[in-house]
Amino acid sequence: MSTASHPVKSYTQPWTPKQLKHLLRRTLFGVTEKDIDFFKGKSSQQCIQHLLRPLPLPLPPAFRTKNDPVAPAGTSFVLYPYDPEREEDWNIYIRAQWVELMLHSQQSIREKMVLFWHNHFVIQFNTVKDSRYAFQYINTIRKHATGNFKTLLREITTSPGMLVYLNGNQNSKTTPNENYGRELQELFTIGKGTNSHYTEADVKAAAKVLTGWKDDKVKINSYFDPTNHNTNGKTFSAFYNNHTIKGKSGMDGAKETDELIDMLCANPEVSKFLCRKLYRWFVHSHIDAQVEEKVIEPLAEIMRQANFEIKPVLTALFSSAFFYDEKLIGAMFKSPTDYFIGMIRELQIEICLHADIQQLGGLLLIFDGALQQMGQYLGDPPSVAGWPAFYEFPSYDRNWVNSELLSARSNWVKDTLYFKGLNQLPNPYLRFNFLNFAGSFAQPNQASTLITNVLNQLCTVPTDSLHIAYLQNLLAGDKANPQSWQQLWEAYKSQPTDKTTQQELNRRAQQFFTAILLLPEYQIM
Amino acid sequence: MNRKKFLHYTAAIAPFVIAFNAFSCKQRNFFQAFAPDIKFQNRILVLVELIGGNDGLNTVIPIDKYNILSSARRDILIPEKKILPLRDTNTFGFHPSLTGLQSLYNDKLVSVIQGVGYPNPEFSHFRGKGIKYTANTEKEEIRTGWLGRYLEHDYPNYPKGYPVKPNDGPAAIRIGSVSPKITQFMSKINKGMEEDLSIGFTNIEDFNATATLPESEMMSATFANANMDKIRAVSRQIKLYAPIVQDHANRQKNLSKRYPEPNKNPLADQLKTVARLIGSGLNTPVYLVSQTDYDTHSDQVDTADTTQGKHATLLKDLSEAITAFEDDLHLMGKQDDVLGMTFSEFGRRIACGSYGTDHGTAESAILFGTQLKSGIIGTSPDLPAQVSAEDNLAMQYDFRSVYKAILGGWFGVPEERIKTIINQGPDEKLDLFKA
Repeated sequence: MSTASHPVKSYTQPWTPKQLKHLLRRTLFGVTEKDIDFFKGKSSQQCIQHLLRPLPLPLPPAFRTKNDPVAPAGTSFVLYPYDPEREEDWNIYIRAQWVELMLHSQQSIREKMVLFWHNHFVIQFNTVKDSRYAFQYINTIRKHATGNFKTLLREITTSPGMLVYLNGNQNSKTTPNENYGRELQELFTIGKGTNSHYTEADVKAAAKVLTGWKDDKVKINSYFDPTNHNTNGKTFSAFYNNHTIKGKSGMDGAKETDELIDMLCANPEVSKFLCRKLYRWFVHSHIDAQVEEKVIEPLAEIMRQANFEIKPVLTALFSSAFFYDEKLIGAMFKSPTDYFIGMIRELQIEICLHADIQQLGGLLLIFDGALQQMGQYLGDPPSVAGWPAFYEFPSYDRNWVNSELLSARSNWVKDTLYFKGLNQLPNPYLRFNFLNFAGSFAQPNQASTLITNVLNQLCTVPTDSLHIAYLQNLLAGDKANPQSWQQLWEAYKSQPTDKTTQQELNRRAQQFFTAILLLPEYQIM
Repeated sequence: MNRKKFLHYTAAIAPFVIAFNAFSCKQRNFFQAFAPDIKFQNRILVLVELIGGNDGLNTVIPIDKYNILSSARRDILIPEKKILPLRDTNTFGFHPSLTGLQSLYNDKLVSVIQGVGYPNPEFSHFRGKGIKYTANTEKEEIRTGWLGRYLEHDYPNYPKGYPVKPNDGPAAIRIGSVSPKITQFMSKINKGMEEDLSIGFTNIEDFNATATLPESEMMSATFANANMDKIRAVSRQIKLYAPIVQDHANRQKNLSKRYPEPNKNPLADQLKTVARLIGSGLNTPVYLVSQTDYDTHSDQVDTADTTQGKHATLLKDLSEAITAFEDDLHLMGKQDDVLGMTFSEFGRRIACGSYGTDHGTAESAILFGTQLKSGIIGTSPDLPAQVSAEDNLAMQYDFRSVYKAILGGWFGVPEERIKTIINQGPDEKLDLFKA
């Protein structure tokens, strides 16, 4: 076991809005003025502890299910028997609740960690095909989001959703199925780092330990079936110190799973693998020898000392000097959730109910349209490894920036802001009230002041002067509308109901905000 | 309930014209004028990635080993009578879903390479994919893809100065969920950064130019600046290539009547777009498409009927898509220009588990096109009489030899340059194409 020769150096410089905003950008989905106001005057430790505080678990989603033929209004589908006909809609309810929790972050890191663990312990809802399992899974993650990794790992290992997804429920003494035994080591604990030397035999041995688990579609949980359990001893390779898990018969066979998890977590690679993932999630994709030595090793040591409690690790991470290093501001690309959920929060875009599918309206568009097309479909990452942005060397989060996904961002921003699209009156899905939003800034009638203030609030780094001139042109309108921005705004103030003025203001505002949201300065964090 | 209908709004936005400094540069056809042989001009490669690891033993079935198979994979065994016969062999037959590919095979448009693998096989999806994308089996992580290293020669300094009329197609087009890694190369402009030669989209209709802002100087001194440069560069690529690609797609309709209905077969939808682009004369040499869900640990077959189930559906889609695609290319007069090949991160285990199979080793590569010699390359796999859960297929051909054969035999890349693109693998020659 390695010793912590380098404690994590704490941040000791002044705590200004700049550091606060950086912390919030990395721990929430977008940062609103309300968030900033809430944390104003608090010390860095107070902010961090508030972000990490536990939140009550949400109840199972009971959506506006007037016409749900199985789960009537006010009740949740988790109470009802499995129904393949309702699967699609019930998964939609889970996603809708998930997005709502992201939108109403309550200044808590929880949903950012829920997404982290979802990307770590992947299941794909469309493969599991039981929304009640999917909900059980996501709430297990939610419960332990900033809790104990080993507890979470143990619960996920035998959660019905995971047993179905990685075929643990088909892994028996006569027909072993290696799927979970492999991913448990490759993706969930040890990883494929340079010092990861588990063997194919270890995959097979782990699979044998895990034989006997079954999922229960009535109770929505799992159980251990000793008749399917391989009761031979399982000996692991030198990488695990040739550890042997003694075969146990009867219900004691289930205890082998606990022993396996203890054995895995005793290997220091687990803490290092997790800390690298946390670093890539919260700090930066690039890890060199120096980061490994100065950051990863000490954080991993904290994790081991804390017996895999996550909170001390996150506290150390967010209290560290390296986290607030100037050069890391803007070093990450916003993921689709950072980008789109963030945009909705920051622009105070209203989510409207709608007659379409169970009145989910705008909410449905966010996850089933925008996030899916931008490449981050909640509940269905592209594979068991999660989203390539968090694992694929060397591109990592540059994976969010390709022609396909940027084109989708642009389409969805336009759809959201333009009246032609989802903002269409009188029944919008998502309503951006530009006049209210612009009116919340000081001196909205002064184009250059408005531009400066909006950019300061929304962008992560200062904007190029070329862009400012360009944005000024957008507010100034075109030759067909020679009225200056100031005249137009004041005309609106004196006669707020005048349709022509409103229309022209909105037209310019749509172009203006579309341009800002597509600025590179807005797409990094 | 129709959700899709409101997911596809298009909002008009005035395009902002960028003065783009298109300086003259060398391009594909310039080089081809000096190529040793005119026949390599305009040749196109379509790669079909079978994501998850395809079960080759149930795809191209070694009938001569049926006895062994029937004990080793009883749960998923295809009834012998249902196996589709092939014109020139009693050793192999196709999965019953592959009727279209069977006809293509019998018309001499298909080659199957048996036992495609590499020494010390990797059983991880992600290592396995990485190896196939990069053509590198070393343990260290590799930044560039084998097609990126091939294409960068014909697109020097990409993306600076591209596209250039009239041969203005992207170097590669990626539809669906294939990794761009395969077409990455090390940028000469942004030192230390990988650059992707492919343009990707999901639906061609949604592939729109964004409202691009004035271009600033690229200055990658900080992480933030490097990130913003990347966004600007990709935005510019979309702006420049989306109209070209859209315009070409609009010029050519699909001519084949054999495609399945839209949204039924994702691969067919992807290949329909590819066919339109090829038919239009777009000079893009590489297309990447994919099918997902080949990771059939369970439910590979229906318990009641092993010719049905997850794997059967995937193969049916694969076969229908390729058959319609070839028909389309034929009707467009482009069939001779196009070579297709499937690849997968690995094959699957010989023995089955419960109605499924675990990660395995060597796979069967299916190639399609009129210029192939056609037939089965390789022999019936050596199977132990008593198959254990651990037994795997032996490699017959190194996958790097297949790539090299395509670079040399299809694209006419000289031997010395092939060595720089793929600098490892055995010295083994595969002769895939007609003289």
